[in-house]
Amino acid sequence: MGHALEWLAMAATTLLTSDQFLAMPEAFDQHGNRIKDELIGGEVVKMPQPSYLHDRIKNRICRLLTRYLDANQAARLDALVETGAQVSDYDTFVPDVAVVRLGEQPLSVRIYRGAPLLAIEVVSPTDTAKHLKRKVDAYLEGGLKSVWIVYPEARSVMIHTADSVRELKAGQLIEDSTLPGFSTPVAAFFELS
Amino acid sequence: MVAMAATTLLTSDQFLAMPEELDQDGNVVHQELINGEVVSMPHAAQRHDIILGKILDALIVYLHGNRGLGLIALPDTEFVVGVNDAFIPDCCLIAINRLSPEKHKYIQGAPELAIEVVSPSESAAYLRIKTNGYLSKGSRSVWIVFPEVRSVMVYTGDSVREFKGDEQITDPLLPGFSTPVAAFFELT
Repeated sequence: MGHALEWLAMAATTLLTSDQFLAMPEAFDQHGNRIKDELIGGEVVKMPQPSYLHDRIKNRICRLLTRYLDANQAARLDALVETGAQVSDYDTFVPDVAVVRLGEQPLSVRIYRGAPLLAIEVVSPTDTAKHLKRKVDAYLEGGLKSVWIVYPEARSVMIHTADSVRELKAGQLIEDSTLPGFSTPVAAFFELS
Repeated sequence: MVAMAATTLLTSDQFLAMPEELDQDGNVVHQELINGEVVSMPHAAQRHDIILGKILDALIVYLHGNRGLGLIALPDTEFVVGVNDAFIPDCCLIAINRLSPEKHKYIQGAPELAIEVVSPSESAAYLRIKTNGYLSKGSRSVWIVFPEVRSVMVYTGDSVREFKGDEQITDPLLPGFSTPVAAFFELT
C-alpha cells in the first residue's frame, strides 16, 4: 500500500471514499437506464457498456462455475454475478463474477464488504490497463485469494494471486487452488457456438 | 480469433504503405497496427517520457559494460511483428547484427526485449495482445511499466514476475543487470 496515497493524489482532483461513493444517488442516462460505475483508487469510473461477446463469455464462465459448485456443495461456495464489493476505503468494484463463501455476509446487504474468495473480470475493449492493474492490486491487498482477468481478444486468462501471476492460453487448463477440483480448458471460455 | 471491433482488417504491408497522418498542429500521429486494427498511440505525458528516459539510461549504462551481449537500446522503433501486427515499443533492446542502415526504418520480427510504459488511456486488451505478440514472435522478455503503482511486470516465456517497491529488477536476458525499480519512478 506504500504508494497508494500517491496514486490517489495523481489519479483525480477529488477523491471519494467508498462510503461517499456508495452514498451517491444513482445516475441515469437519457433512456432511463442506470449508469453503473465503480470506485477505483478513489476515482469514479463509468463501467463500459458490455459487448455481446463480453456478456457471452461472462455467462459461459458462470455456467462452468455453477456446474462445479453444484457438484461440490460441501465447499459451501456460491457464484455472484455483478454484485458490488467494497474492497478498500477507496475501492468499490463490480466484478463480473465473484465466488464467495456462503454465510459470510448477511443476506440483506447490497454491497459485499470485504473480500470474496475469487473475482473474475472479463476485459472490455475500453478498459484501461491502468485501472485494471489498480483493481487487481486492490483486490489482492483486500484479501482476495485469486483474481482472474479474462482477455477475450487475446483468448487468455491471467490468474493473479498475492505472490504469483500466471497466464493460461489455448490448450492449457484453468485450475485454481481456491476451487479444488475445478479444471476446464481455456478454450471453454472463448469458444462460443 | 474472435473478430474485434474493426470492420476492415489491414495487413502490416497495407498499414506501412499508408501515408502519415498529421494532427491539426502538423505533428505526425503515431499509430500501431494491432490485430489488423489501426490504433493511434496516445500522446505521451512528460511523466511517461521521464520514466522512459530513466529506463533507457539504466539499460545504456548496463550495455556499455556488457558489449559482448551485442544488444543496443532504441526508443520508438517500429517492428513488423506479424501479418497484422506492427508495434512501436516505447523502448527496446535489439541485437545489433539485426540492424542494417540501408533497410527500411522498420524492423521485421520482434525485439529481443520490448518495454512499454503504460499511458493513462492505454487499453488493457491491446496491451495484452501486444505483450503476447512480442513473446510469440521471438522477444525473450517484455517489460510492462505501470507508473501509477510504480511496478514493472516482466514477462519471459511462460512466466510473469512483478517488481515493485524496494525490489531490484532483474531479467534473464541481461545477466548481472540489477537496479532498484523505484529509481525508474523518481522524477527528479
